Amino acid sequence: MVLTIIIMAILIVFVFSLILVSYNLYASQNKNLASSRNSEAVNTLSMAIKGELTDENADTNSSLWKYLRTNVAYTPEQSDYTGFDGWKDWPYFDASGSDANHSEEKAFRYFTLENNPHIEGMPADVTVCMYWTLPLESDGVTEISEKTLFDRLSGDGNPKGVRLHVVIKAETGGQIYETEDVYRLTAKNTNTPEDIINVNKLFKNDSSYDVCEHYPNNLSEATPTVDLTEKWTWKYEGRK
Amino acid sequence: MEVRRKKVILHNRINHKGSTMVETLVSFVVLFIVLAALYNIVVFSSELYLRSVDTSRLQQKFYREIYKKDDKLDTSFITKTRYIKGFGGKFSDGTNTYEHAALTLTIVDDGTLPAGMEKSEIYLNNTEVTSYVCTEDNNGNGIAPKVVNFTFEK
Repeated sequence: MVLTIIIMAILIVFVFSLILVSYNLYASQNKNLASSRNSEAVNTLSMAIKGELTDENADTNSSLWKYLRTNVAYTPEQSDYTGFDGWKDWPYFDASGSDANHSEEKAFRYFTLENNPHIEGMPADVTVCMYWTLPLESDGVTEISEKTLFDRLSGDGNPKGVRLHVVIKAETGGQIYETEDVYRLTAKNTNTPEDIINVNKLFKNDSSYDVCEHYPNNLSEATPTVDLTEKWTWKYEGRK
Repeated sequence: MEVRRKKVILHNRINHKGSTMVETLVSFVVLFIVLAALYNIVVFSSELYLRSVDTSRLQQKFYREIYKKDDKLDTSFITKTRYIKGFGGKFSDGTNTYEHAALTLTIVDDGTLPAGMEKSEIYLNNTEVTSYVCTEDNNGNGIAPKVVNFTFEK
């Protein structure tokens, strides 16, 4: 009797071990599929956004570029230094954590990638997080503050070194893949204001794409208060 | 002495009683059920293993294929759909059929945004998507891979 129970117990343990191993193999294969799907989407989206930001004609045909142009380092008091109190709307990110106004909570802007119509193969959830940081000391900016950066951004016409971080994350089937790209801002003074107000025919196939919102200024309505004599370009610095 | 002799006789009677036919049959039925369950588990495990091997094989084949040019793409097991930026549904250029798709980055209102910013959305004006879906499903035993590729198009 005892011998029978022992044999049965060994058999059952063996069989359940077998099913456990097989299931783990199967589950890991499915995770692998989801992971590949995420990485493919994130890496190619990263390249597409790089194109949107660094293309030579981005200032005229990219809504994302225009959005950043009118939001990053934007200040309502740009024409009047008196009363300057920093970038209220989209503050820069300070990784030291010493300033609550420049914490992750205040400085990170999250976006979800939405598509119309539904596209087969799209990861379940794609989010893009963007934040910007002040120049580094290695950029030649010794005194880093909002006020001095503001002066320099509208001043001598050298590259300023503001960094834009774009974090792309995709999630499917419990698997997450994430990348972070860094772009460096070059701002040069020109006498000619950039013609970014006219948002015409951003999409070649449908005029309904003309309208795009650029907080705090909808460029199709009002003259933005940003300094349009600065020629902005984003240079891709690589992955963080 | 007499008592001891009776006990021995009783003991011998018990030992020689044996099992009834019903008990034997029930024992065999129970044994059969247990063995059948174990057999099914082994078969199921084997199927899971084969599925994972098939999925892996199909995944490799799929990812080898999607990077090929259109004229070399094996459409016998992959459906490729290219989505052109913009609205308007499906259209054809005479040779291929395309669909329109609008991609937007829509801001997430996490409670820290300034007032009036909740609806901000940014069109990715120059970004297009291509979808690849594997139509081979290993006779219903595997999960078909599918993936999207974003491309920057001026």
